[in-house]
Amino acid sequence: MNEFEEQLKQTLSRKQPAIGFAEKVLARTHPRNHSWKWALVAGLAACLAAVGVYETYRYQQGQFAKEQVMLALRITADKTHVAQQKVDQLNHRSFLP
Amino acid sequence: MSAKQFAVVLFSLAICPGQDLIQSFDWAKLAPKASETVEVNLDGFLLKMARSFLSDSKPDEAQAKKLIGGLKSIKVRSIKFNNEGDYNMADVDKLRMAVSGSEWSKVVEVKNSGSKASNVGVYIKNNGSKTEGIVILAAEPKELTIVQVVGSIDPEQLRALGDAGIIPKVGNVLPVKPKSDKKD
Repeated sequence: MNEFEEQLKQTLSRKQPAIGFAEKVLARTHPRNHSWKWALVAGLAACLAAVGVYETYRYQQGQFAKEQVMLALRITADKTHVAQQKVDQLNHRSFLP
Repeated sequence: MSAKQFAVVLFSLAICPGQDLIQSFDWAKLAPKASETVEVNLDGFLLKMARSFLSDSKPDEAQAKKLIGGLKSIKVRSIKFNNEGDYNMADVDKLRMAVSGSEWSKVVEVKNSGSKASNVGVYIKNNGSKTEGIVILAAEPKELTIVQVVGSIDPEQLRALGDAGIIPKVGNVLPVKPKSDKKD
């Protein structure tokens, strides 16, 4: 066996892996922990949902308030009209012979 | 001053313009006899919300928006009854007393006695040339309505809404401010 063969044998000979090598390999084979990303996505989704619910509530409240204003104005006008009619009736009566 | 007059003055003072005339009335006792009830409670927050939802581009909504611009609250109670005499006219008189103070102007008050007694009044609270509130009290044989508007309201704007057909015509009951007042 010449010197070259001796070097080749040494190079290709079985060697003990470094301490912790097996754990490192195993750690890399497991899927990475993405839980924080999912938490972020879930948080954003919850925020969007909350904004959506609030905006819907605000819209409904605004529409309700608008309808109530128009209803109140209609009743105000209606009852003022009743008062006007009563006054007109009295005026008409007072002009009758 | 008689005891009755003194009581009227005390009651009038108790219901200050900022206080709630509608809240002072016991509506619960009328509820069992009511066939239809309308209740509107719009405070500052809801009026602000309504203003933001009334469109400037639609003429009717723009007018309503302008009208409610200076208001602090609008409250309405309207109850329809199945039968005549389901409510006591004495209760209405108590409400009327509350708006008989010196700061209130009685614009119209029509009382009909008899079997079909009715009682309609429009009262305005003025502070100088500024209208600070309107109370409308309409006690008809089968219907009792109270409207309480607190805040600066221009009767002309209300009339304009009526003339535009957005609400029933208001008529000439509400006083029109002199032109010179508008410049203030």
